[in-house]
Order: sequence, then C-alpha cells, then structure tokens
Amino acid sequence: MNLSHYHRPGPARIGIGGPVGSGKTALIEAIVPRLLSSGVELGIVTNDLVTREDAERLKAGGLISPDRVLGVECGACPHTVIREDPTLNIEAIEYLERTFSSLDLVLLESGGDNLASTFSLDLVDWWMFVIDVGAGADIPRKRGPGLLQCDLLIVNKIDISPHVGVDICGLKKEAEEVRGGNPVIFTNCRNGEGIEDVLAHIRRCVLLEDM
Amino acid sequence: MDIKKLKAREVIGHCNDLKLAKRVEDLKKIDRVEYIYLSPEETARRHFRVQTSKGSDCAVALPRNAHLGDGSIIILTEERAVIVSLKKRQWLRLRPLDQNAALELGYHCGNLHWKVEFKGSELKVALDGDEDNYLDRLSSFLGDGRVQRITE
Ligand SMILES: Nc1nc2c(ncn2[C@@H]2O[C@H](COP(=O)(O)OP(=O)(O)OP(=O)(O)O)[C@@H](O)[C@H]2O)c(=O)[nH]1
Ligand SMILES: [Mg+2]
Repeated sequence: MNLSHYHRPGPARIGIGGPVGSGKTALIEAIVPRLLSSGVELGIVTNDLVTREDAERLKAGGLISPDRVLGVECGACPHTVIREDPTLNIEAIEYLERTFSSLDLVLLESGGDNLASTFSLDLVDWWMFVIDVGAGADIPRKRGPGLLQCDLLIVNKIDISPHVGVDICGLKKEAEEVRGGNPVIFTNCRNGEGIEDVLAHIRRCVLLEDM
Repeated sequence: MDIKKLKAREVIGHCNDLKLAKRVEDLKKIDRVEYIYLSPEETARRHFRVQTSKGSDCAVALPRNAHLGDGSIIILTEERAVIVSLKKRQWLRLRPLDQNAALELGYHCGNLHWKVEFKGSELKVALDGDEDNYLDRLSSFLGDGRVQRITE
C-alpha cells in the first residue's frame, strides 16, 4: 500500500454554506472556470437533502469534468453532515483525492440550511457563508452563527436590491459591524461582480499563493 | 517594513522532544522563536495563513494526518523556530435554578449544538467565538433568573 500521500499536504478543502437558494451553486459556477483557467486542479462535493440535484447541475454544466463532481445525499439535516458527523463528506472527499492524485482544492457545497449552520474545521480548512440580498436588510442583525463564524461572508444577488427595497450601503455597514472586521464581499454571480475579490481571498488564505 | 514570509509543510515535532528542546532553547536565547496562536478548533485546519507573534506571514499546509497541538514545532531552522501556542478554551458557566430549569437549559444547549460539560450542578458551555453571541441566545433564561451565570 502506498502511504506516501499521507506525508505530504493534500488538497485544501473549502466549505460553502448558506440558506436555500442564496446562490451557493451559482458561486461555484462563477469561481470554477476562473480557478481552472489558472491551473488549479479541482474536485467538487455537493450535499442535497434527498437528491443529487446540484451535483447533476454541475456535471451537466460543462464547466468541469463530470467525474470530478460527487453528490452526497444528506437526509433531512444538512448541518449534521458538515458539523457533528462529517463522515460521509470526508469519505467523498477522500474518494476524489484517491482518484485524482494531483488535486489542489476540493469545494464542498452544503445543503441549503438556516443561519445557524456552521462547518466543522475537521471537515474543511476554510469556509464561506452565502446569504442574499433578497432575504432582507436585517439578516446580519439576526447574528446567525453561520454568518458570524465563517471565514468569508458573501452577500450575493446585489443586482436585485432595487426590486426588494434593500439599501446595499446600510446592509454593508451592518454586515461589517457584526463580523467584527472579518471579511464580507458583495457579489452578483450572474455578471461576475465581486467574484475576483472572492478568488483573491481563496488564493491568499487557502491556496497560499503569493508566497 | 518588510514582512517575513514563512512556509510550513510539516509538523517537525514538539518543543519538549529531547532532540529538539535544546535547539528551541538556544533559539529562544537569541529571541528567534515565533509563536502562532490557535484556538482548539483552529488546530484542525490543514491549510491556513496566519501571522506569527513577530509579525511574519506564515503559510501553513500540512498533511491531513498531522497533529497540531500546544508546543508543535512547524518551522525549525538555524535562524528560527515557529511554535504553536494553544489559546485556552473559554467557558461560560451556568447554574440552573431548579430541575425544571436544568431540563430546559440542557435541551436548549443541545438544540443549538453547543459543546458542553457538566460539573456538579453547573453546565459549562465551550465558547467558539464571541461570548455575546451565546449570551444573546440565553437571554430569556438569564433574564427571568431561571439560570444564573457564574463568573467567579
Ligand atoms: N439575480 C441573481 N440571481 C442569482 C444570483 N445568484 C444566484 N441567482 C439565482 O438564484 C437561484 C438560486 O441559486 P442557486 O445557486 O441554485 O442557490 P443555492 O444556494 O445553490 O441553492 P440550494 O443548493 O438549493 O440551497 C437561481 O435561480 C440562480 O440563478 C445573483 O447574483 N443574482
Ligand atoms: Mg445549490
């Protein structure tokens, strides 16, 4: 048995959590082509309640080779498999690591959950929490643990702010305040606004580039 | 000022290891030991960037099976050692007024997936992040006196 891979750093692992429909898969779709074009080798694991909808969408999307995407059905409690018992996800990630020995990075999308869901650092090295403008201007004030503890908070769908009557400046101020100086990025996954900024964080904090 | 950039790729050993202790002590004497401060949760990260006690920018990428704890040495050269210093876990100590309050408090903490320990009639909550975020969620218990916070 070849155990040499145990003795060198494996691929980094990034978690992506957040409420249902906030744009987690859309964020993955926005960052994947940019990472691939700069030579980063990727794998993706998605969690869905009882289907593999997101995995199928990513496989069919043509952005990444379909065999590098795995869907894990997590049942009714999406937060359990990213925190209390991440075994299923760890197995899926290790499968990708074994199959593609030169992976640099694995992205893990959690099933849509509430503001309380957080990732265990036993599962991922670093995680983002995606909320969206449509959920209202007062979400930061609800101080959900997901939003407070993540390494990077993403506020997505800034393009719809005029339609839902949300003032982006106010939202920004509140989000930054509850985050106590930890980073917040505003994005539009449809047109790519803010995405370079997200990538800069990933490259610096996780891929450890610029060294 | 020029920020030193450091890379760590393995856990070299522990600062109490017989073979390493002397080298670390020698580096300490000439003020060449730098620390990185990690919470118990953060020691599970295997790829991260952190600032050392001397302001160096340290990029850490470790094998999954590496173990990081208080005293782990992640860089050891002629010039410097970088050593992990574990931040002490902070606890919130709570005492329920009676059995009813204890049942409810236990349920509440479990529901929020908090890490707890029991110590006699006390329930201790392990804090991960800001204490206020925990106090907020306990406000109804603390507000009507069903639960008392112990601070001494
Ligand atoms: N206008 C707008 N729509 C977006 C944006 N990002 C995502 N969407 C849309 O929002 C809907 C939900 O996006 P998804 O990426 O599927 O959200 P998700 O968080 O992965 O959803 P679940 O996995 O089901 O929890 C889709 O219809 C997206 O096209 C954005 O920046 N602006
Ligand atoms: Mg999705």
